[in-house]
Amino acid sequence: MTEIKIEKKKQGWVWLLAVFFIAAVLIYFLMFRDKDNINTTEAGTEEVYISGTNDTNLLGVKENNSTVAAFVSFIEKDTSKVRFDNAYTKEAFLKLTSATNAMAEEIDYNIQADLEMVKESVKLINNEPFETSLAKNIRNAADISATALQHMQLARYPWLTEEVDELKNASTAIQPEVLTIKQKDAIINYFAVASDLLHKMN
Amino acid sequence: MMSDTIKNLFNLEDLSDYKVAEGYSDIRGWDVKDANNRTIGKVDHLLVDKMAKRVVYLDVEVDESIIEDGFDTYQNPVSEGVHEFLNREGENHLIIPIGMSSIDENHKLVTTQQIDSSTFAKAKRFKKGDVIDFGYELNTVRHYRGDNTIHSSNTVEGFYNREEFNNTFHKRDLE
Repeated sequence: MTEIKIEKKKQGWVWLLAVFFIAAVLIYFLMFRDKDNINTTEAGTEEVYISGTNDTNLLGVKENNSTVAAFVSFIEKDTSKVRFDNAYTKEAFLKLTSATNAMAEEIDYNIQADLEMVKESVKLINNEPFETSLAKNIRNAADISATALQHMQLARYPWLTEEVDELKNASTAIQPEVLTIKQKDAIINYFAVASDLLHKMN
Repeated sequence: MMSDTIKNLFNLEDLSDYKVAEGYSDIRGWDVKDANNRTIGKVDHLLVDKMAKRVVYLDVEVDESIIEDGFDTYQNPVSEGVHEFLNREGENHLIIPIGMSSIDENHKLVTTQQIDSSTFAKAKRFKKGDVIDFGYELNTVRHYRGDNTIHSSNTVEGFYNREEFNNTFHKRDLE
C-alpha cells in the first residue's frame, strides 16, 4: 500500500495552557485555604489562655476577678476617709495577697512559692510587737509581693513592664529603718501602684 | 519554469500544523530502489495535496551514481518533442508519484517497480529546496510513463486523481 495520509497535529499549546490553568487553580485554592487557617489562628490566640508558656500577652483579656476588684476598690477608697494605721496596712496586705493569688489562678500561673513567702511576711506584720521592726516587715512583704507580681507580668503581661518597675521602686521607697508613721505616703503609694498594676492585669 | 508554486502542493515540513497520520509510515529517510533493484537515493521530503490531506509525491535526494549516468545520457532525448533533460551541478532531487512506489515496511524501503535506472537517470532533477511548478510535475509523470500525451485535461476530477498517484495503478512489466 503506497498511501500516506496526513493529519493535523494536536494543539500542544492548548494542553499546556490547560495544565497551567489547572495548576494555577490548585495553587490558588491551596494558598487561599492556608490563608484562612492563618486568619483563624490569629483570631484564636486573642481569646485563648495558653497555660505553661511564657510568651503570651493577656493584656487585652478581661478576667474581671472579683477578689482583685475588691483589693483595687479597697485601695482606691478616698484616703481622706481612711484611717491609715497598722490595721489598714495589714488588711491591705491581706487583700493584696488574696488578689495576687486570685490573679495568678486566673491566668493559670503558679506563684505558690512567692505567695507563701508573702504570707509569712504578712504574719510577721500581724505579730510584730515592735514598731521599729514593722517597717522592715512591711518592706519585706512589699518586696516579695512585687516580685510575685513581676513574675506574673513577665509571663503573661509583657507590656506592663513599666508598671512593675514602678511597683518595685515604690517597694524600695519603703525604708526598713524608718518608722511606718513617718513613711505613710510611701506605703500608701506602694499599695496604689500595686492596685493599678492588678487592675490592669484584671 | 520552476518559479511558481502549485497552491495545493506543499512540503509537509512547511505545514507546521500537519504530520503523517496515525497508522501510516513516515518514510522520510528510507532508501529508494528502482526497478533494477538499484538504490537511487533516499526519501528527503513528502509533498502533499493539502486539500486531499495525503502525500502525492516523494521528494527523493538521489545518489551520485545516478547523477553520473544522467550526464552520460543527457544527449539522448527520450522522444521527439520532449525537451532535453539537462541537470546542472547541485540538482540532485527528483519527485516520484506515490502511486508508482511500493513501501516495504519490514526493510524500511521504497521500491519503484515501474521506473528503471535509465529512466531515473534521464529525469530532470532540481535543487533541494527549489519550488516545483505544475509544468515540472507534468513532464516528470510523462517521462516516467513514457507518454507525452499525458495532460491535466486527461482527467476529469484533477491531476492527483490519476492512477500514478493512487493504489489503483496497474503494475507494468518493464522487462
